[in-house]
Amino acid sequence: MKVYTSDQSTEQSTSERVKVGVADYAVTESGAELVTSGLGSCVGIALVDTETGIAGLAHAMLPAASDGRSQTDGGGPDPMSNDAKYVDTAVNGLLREMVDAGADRSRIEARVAGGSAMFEFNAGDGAVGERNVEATEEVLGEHGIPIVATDVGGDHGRSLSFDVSSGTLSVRRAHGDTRDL
Amino acid sequence: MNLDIQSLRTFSDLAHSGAEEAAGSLTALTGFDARVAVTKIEMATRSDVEREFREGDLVTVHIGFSGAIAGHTILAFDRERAVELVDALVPGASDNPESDLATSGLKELGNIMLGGFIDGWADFLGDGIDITTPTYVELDADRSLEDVVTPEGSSDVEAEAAEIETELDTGHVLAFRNHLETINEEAGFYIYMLPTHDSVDTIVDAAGDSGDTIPVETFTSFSEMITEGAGQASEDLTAMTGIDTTVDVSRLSFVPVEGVPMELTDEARRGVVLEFTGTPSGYIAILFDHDSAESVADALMPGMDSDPAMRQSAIQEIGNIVTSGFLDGWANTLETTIEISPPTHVDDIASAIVDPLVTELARTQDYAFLIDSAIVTPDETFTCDIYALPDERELRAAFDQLAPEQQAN
Repeated sequence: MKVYTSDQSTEQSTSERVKVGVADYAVTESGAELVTSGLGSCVGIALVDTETGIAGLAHAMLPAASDGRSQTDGGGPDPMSNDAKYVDTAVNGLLREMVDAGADRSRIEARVAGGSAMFEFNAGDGAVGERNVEATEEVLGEHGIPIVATDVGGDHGRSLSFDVSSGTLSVRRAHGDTRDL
Repeated sequence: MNLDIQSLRTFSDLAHSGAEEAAGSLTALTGFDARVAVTKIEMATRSDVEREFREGDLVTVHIGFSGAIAGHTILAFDRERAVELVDALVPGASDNPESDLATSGLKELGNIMLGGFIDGWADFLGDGIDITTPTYVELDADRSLEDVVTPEGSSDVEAEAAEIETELDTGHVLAFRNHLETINEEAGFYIYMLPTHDSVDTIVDAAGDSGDTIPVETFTSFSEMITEGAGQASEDLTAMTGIDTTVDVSRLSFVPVEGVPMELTDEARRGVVLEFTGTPSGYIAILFDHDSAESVADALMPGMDSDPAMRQSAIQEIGNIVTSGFLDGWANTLETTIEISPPTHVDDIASAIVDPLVTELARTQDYAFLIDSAIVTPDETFTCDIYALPDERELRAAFDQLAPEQQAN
């Protein structure tokens, strides 16, 4: 499956608002606002180079590509699978695009939101949200990127709006409660 | 005609990349920065598609195609969006949106976008596909798709397109539904493709693997089973609330897992989520907007001074009833048992409610069968949205049980 915005994830336009879908990420260097909706167990990862303002937002579903269907099918990685679906490949892709756009890894900081546990399913192996957050911490740690603020866990959904110019990640819950990170 | 999962994926990929081509053309021609939000394959009847156009108040441009594959493609947009587009294409023409100048602008746009959409399929099949001249259509209550695509004084291609209509009339069609959106706007554009049964076969032959095929009749049987389930749920809901209800929508579609939450909005919804286990197992969400939830709770406790906890348990009870109505028919038809978990009450962002259900499925599958139904009341007292997400492999097992004799073919 193609990454929905792979061909335009570096936004050159002056659009004020860029929507990031599920299993998707986008990079902006124009100071646009990056938004994504409906994080349940999914995790939202907002990165910004504080000096250049080059920023990105990812909306990932599962911790690692190895957790995907390739594992249960017993085959290799699925060539049709979407990198932005997994925390590890999404962060790697996001960083690569930001660096390509001129960001410096040493100046990038991260804000993380999502990864809630809204339901307890019998069939699931549980705590996907928690594992998404752990995977995010791990992969960002590997790249030496500090997490400056988080709003993770709990049992409720979140929608995110990343104001790149101020570096503020607004986390909105249902019924309008908003917390700025 | 048989379908298999590999063919459905190929269909989905072709439709998605075709829609991306079309979105690129739209951006180049009009300056609207468009992208593909969701690509779905629906088992639908023609009347389902027509109703969607009418209810959405969509303005449409139709193009028939024939050759390697045959059928219809339709570009549809919200009326407001159509006016904006006309302005971008033919400055000033939107002052008179009914004029030939305005509609010819839209037809030309349709020609380029739908032509681009179809090209990818021709490339995949390594064979040519001819397209008809575009027809501009505003569907209203008096007109059907057939009226508008059956041409007068038609060319060969058009005559062939008219024949296609007859075939499409025979019942369910595979409809490829692509939702395009602009960066800033939720609402947007839709590209539909309705290929003939023979054309679906052609693509399956080119794309499919030989194993695991499912006769298309099985999909249609399943689609009918879903409709019956929604009907039962509607009856049970009426019995419980004393309010007349009808099934407004009942659809089976095949969609990339990440596309499912994007079908729902960012608004708050109340309702319940349940897990079902059996053949198939999966997840179900029964959701109401705020006013609908209040109306349903009121209907269950007429005249009572109820506290929030009582209202929550009323919603849970409704969720139980609707789920049983919806799934019991499946268990009967499939001669299996489907166990339903206790309902978990939710009051959250609609897309976030569905997100964890899809994430569970995403661990083992890239695509999902999405069943979505809406039960409404004629007086608009409430709307009840049902989303069911069965496990793909188990659903296939269920398909096998539904039509064992056809599987042997």
